[in-house]
This record gives sequence, C-alpha cells and structure tokens, in this order.
Amino acid sequence: MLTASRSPLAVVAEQVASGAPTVAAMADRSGLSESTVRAALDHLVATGQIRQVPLGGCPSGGCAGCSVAGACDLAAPRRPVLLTLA
Amino acid sequence: MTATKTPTASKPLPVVATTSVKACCHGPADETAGPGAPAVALIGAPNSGKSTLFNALTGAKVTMGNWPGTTVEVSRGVWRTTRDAASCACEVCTCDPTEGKLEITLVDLPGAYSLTPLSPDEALTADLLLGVPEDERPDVCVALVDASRLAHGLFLVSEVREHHQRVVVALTMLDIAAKRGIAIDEAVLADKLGVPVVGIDPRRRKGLDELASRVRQAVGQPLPATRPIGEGGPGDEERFDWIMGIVRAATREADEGRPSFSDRLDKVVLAPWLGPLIFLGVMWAVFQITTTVAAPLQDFLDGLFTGPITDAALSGFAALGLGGTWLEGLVVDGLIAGVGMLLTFVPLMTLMFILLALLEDSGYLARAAVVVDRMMRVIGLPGRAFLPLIVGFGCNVPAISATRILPNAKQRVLTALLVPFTSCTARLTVFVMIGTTFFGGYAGTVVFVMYVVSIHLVVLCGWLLRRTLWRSMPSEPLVLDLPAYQVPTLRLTASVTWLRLSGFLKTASGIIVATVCAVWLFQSIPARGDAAFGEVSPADSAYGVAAQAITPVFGPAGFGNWETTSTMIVGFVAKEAVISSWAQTYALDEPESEDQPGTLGERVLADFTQSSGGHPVPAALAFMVFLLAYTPCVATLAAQWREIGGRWTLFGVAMQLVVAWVLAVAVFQVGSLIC
Repeated sequence: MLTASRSPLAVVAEQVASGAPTVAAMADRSGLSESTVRAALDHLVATGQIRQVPLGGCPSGGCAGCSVAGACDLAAPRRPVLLTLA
Repeated sequence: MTATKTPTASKPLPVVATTSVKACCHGPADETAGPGAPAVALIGAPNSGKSTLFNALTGAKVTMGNWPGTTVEVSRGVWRTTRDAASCACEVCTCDPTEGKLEITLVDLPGAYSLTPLSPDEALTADLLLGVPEDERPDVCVALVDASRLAHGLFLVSEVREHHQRVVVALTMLDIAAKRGIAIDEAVLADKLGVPVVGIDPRRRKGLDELASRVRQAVGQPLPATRPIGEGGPGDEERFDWIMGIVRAATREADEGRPSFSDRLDKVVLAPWLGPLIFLGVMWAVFQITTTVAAPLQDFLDGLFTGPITDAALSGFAALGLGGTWLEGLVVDGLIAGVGMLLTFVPLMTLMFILLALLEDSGYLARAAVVVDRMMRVIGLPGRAFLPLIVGFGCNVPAISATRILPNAKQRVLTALLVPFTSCTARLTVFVMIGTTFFGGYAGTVVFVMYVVSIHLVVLCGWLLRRTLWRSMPSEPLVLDLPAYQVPTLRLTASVTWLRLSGFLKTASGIIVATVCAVWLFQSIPARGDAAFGEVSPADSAYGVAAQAITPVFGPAGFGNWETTSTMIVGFVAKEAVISSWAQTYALDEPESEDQPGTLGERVLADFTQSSGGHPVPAALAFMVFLLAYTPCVATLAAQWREIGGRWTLFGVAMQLVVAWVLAVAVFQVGSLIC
C-alpha cells in the first residue's frame, strides 16, 4: 500500500505507470477510495496526462467491410475503457 | 517500479481574445442587455449543462457567432430577471415584481475543465476570465458543476476562486447523482467553497428563480476574497487536495465504505485463476446453448431450401422451357443453394448475438478484457495491442485499421500480423456447420475450442515473434476502467442483436452472391475433356482442376479431396462464401443421383471419411484449425498491405499458411492415432 500522505494525483499517476490493471486494483493497492481514484483519473484525463481509448469499439477506419460494425456505437458504453499515460 | 509521470500543468495556449466580455456586451439589442447591464458568464466543464441552462435562461433568443478575433463560437443573450422574495431586503416581501426587473447580458463561454488551456476553446474562456483587467471581467461567473462528478466540475471553480471574482455555483445533474446514491449537502458545499451554491434542473426549469436571485445578490456585492491556498502555492496537486477535502465534507455516498455489488462480483470473476475459468465456462455455455437450441431450426430451414424451394424453382424453370440450362444451374445450384445455406444460419446467429449482447449489456463481457490483458502481460505484448485484437473477433479488417492507435511501428506490425489469428464472425458459420456434422451434441464445445485455439495462436505466435524479431519492443502500462454490472435491458439487447444480424446478412449475402457467380463461371469453364462451356462436370472444370492441383498438399492433414480444398481457395477470398461454394459444388456434382446423400453435411462427412482413410473426426478438426489459422480474406490482406506494407503482408501470409498447415497435419496425425 502506498503512503496516504502523498497527493492522490501523484499516487494514481504512479499506479497507472506501474501497470495496475483496473480502478479497483488501484484503489486496493494505494489505499485511496475508489471515488478518489476515479476523480484523480478524471483529472489526469482532462489535463491530457492520461489518454482514454474506448475498447472494442470501431477504430478510425476499415469499418465498411465489417459486418457487425452497426452495433459498435450502441454497445460502446458497456465496454471497458483503456487508460494509458499520454 | 516504473518511473512515475508527475502531474504537471500543461503549457498554456496563447491568449486569443481581442475583446472582453463587457466590451462585447455593447452590441445589438437582441444579444445584449445594453450598456450598464451586468454581464454574467456561464462557465463549466464540457457537458456540464451550460447550453441547456443558457437556452432556459434566455428563452433561446440567442446570438451565436465567433468571438471577435477568434474562431471560437460563443452564445450571447439577454437574461431577464425579476426580483423575488429572496433577492429583496423586505422581511415579508411586498415589492412589485415588475419594479425589480433586471436584464443581464448572459454569455455562454466555451466549456473548459481548467484555466490552463489545452484547446482554443479553453484558451478563450481563460482569457476572458483572467486575461483582461478586473473591471473588464464578467460581473458574476455562474459555474456549472455536474453533481455526479463533483470533483471534476470543481477544478475550474478552484482556479477561478484564486482570483477576486464573484462566483455562483449551479449544481446540475442532481438526479443522476441521486441515482448513483450520491447526496450533496449544498449548505456545506457553499460554506467550504465560500460561494453560493444552487441546485438546478434547467430542463424542468427547477431552481432558476433561486439562481437568478443569487446572481442578483452577487452583482451588488464587493469582489470576494480568494480561496485559502495551501503550502507551496496553487498547483494541480494543491487544487485537487482542496477539492477532495470539500467533496468529502459535502457529499455522502449510499454505499460509502462498503464494496459495491460490482466490486464484490469482480472479486470472484476477476480472480487470477478462477476468473479465466469462469470466463471460459460462460463462453462454452454460449456456444453450447446456441448450437443446441438453434439446431432444429437450422435443420428445418435446410430442408426447406433443399426441398420445396429447390423443387419449386426447378418446376418453374421446366415450365418456362429453361430446364437444364446454365441459368437454371446458376439460380438453383448457385444462388438458392448458396444463399439458402447462409439463411439456415439465421437462427444460430440470432441466438448467439442475443447471448453476447446480454453479456455485454450486463457488463460481464468487459471483464473478458482483463483476462486477455493478463495474458498479454505474461508474454510481454504491448497492452494497447489487444484493442485491435478484440475488434478482430468481430472482423479482421477494422482490427487491422485499429493498429494505427499503437504509437510504436514495431507494435503496429506485430499486432497486424497477429490479428488474422483472431476468429472472426465469418469463420463461425463454417465451424458450426462442421461441428454439427461431425460432433452432433458436442458442436458447441468444438466451436468453443476453436475460439480458445484462436486466443492461444495469438499468444504463442506473438510470443515467438517477440522472442525472435522484436526483442526490444517497449511495453506500456495501462488501466482498464470497467462499467458497473447491471440487469441487461431488452431495448439495447434487441437493437444490438438486430444491427449485428442485419449487418452480417447484408455483408455475407453480397459476398455470397458475387462468389456464387464467380464459382459458377469457373465451374462452367472446361479444363479437361471436350465438354462445352456450361456442360463440363465440376471435377473437369477450371475450378475443379485448380483445386486438384493443391489437393495433395492436404493429404497429410486428412482432407485431401478437391471438393474440400476448393472451398479453401474460395475462403481465401472470403470465409462467408466457404459453405455456399461447398453447397454449389455438391449440387452440381451429382445433381440427379438418388444414391448420393441429400444434405450438405452428409456429403461432407462422406468425403472426409474417404480422404482421411476412415478418420473423419480428426480430419474435420484439422480442417477447422487450418481454416482458423490461414489468411482470413483478401480484404484483410488489402488492409494489411495499406497499414504495414507489402513485405510484412507477404511475410504474414506465409507465416499463417505454415502455421495452419503444421497445426492441421499435427491435429490429424495425432488424432488419427486416437480415433
């Protein structure tokens, strides 16, 4: 568990860099609450330090040949989102 | 541990505005309240509800246009307020509301998360709030804050509160926050922020009078003191800590401190060993249910197309005097046999799409990403590579395009080479047909095994390529943010199922019609003997002779007969056409023989039994493995050529063919020793 005296932003950025697989795992490892981790990730995304990539949705091209592309946008909110250091 | 990227303020964009909010208010009467009227700016993060509030307050009498000197669009309008009990000094208000009218020029500034701008929109907002003298700034800022993401919305407020600026916080999305079990104490929030806080719902016009009242009160107030700033001065970390302190004090979550249902469930389904086993069990159940339930319907449709529909078409051609002509062959043996075979898969595809949509909507399917991610990490593949690989299980073509998101050229090439091993939807129909023909009630298990083999092919080939070609490839950390579990909704499940099914049928039918015509043409061209065009037997046609030329290669894999190998040539073009070309070949082969078994499955079983020397089951498995591992379709090749170039594309084709052949031979040789 990481020290709670450090800023949650620094702790969460470190968790991303060290490859914590999920938000729940980051909360477990850091000792922060899940809502604090989410808020910190939210901030890091909004300030461009972390990039969000919707997973499993349509990429930027090639969808014309895909027979199941029609439902990509519809199902997107139920898919995981990838967060990577920018 | 990997070095941490410490949060730092991004480099601000240059100032862009040439006119302040107040100076711009001296415009036409329909867009401003005139000289001397207070100017109020709506500020807030994108999607916080600013535009909805702006329209509610101005009655949508809006002037939209680029801010002077910029290309950023800004809305301006007049907010006509009246005095109410809250905004007057009377103990019991007896004021005439018409006497207390106050027109306010309202400016909807571009959405901004922070005053350290990352876009021209944010730069304009920052400039109009802080880049002009204090007397040119808006009289009041109404900061819209999404109550369901309180910390997110308060960041801008924290920055504005570092300056002498009148602020009123308007809390939006309170209904969404309530649904998530978040309760906000507005009084505590106002106390901690040092500014008035009003809960509003612009769509239902709730709280707008109180907002007007608070704004009118603020207009007459002296400029407020700035917020307390922690040691070390203002900065992202200091602001975030200040915000989180306020959020903790002012909010209460229904399940605070208790793990949510999603968390408890994830402890089980994401457990290191149990999680993958549960995932495999769920996917096995999907395929087993699909094949078992859909089998009777599939048989019924098969009988319909090979029986009454074919008979009716033959009778029709005979009645028209076209019996036995090439046209009859094309329509009956080609289109009806080919398209009809595709349509027999409609119940199966429908059921499978329904089950997958249910899993997706419930949030469970998202957990599969964690399972796959773990495998990627074990073999050292780049984390982001599995985005295109997951897309590949739907279709390989967009999956190849999706490799563009990978920042490293080696990662792009490696992932594009692995995508063809992901088992796309088009292969599924062939797996099901072979599965039901050779394995009966175990068809679902066999199809499931093919998907497991597909994942292992990706992992093993990726591992081998990394150990040989790209030892220095950088790995990249990533986090997966998973949606909460929920009860699947009928609407989303039905919509997703319909869109996927209709898309599949549309694409597959187009490919099949084109392929049927091409196969018919090559089956009509004589390559041996002296038969005329259209009268040659399939075995002596250009189609049959070409297939026979490569057939010996597949003898060691147990499916060395030309009817089978010809489908692999067609499958090189598109896997959707494999079964239709099979049906077409057998329909032409012995069209009038009563000795031949009637259904496609029976014909295929008979040929596999013969070519495998009495070991049809391992031969069928070998065929499925080959089909899984070799080139998916020409469209995928074209996509690869575009993304990674001709050299790597040809390398990929060669690698897939070698892997497919070696695996198929191994499966048959080992399998024929067992059964």
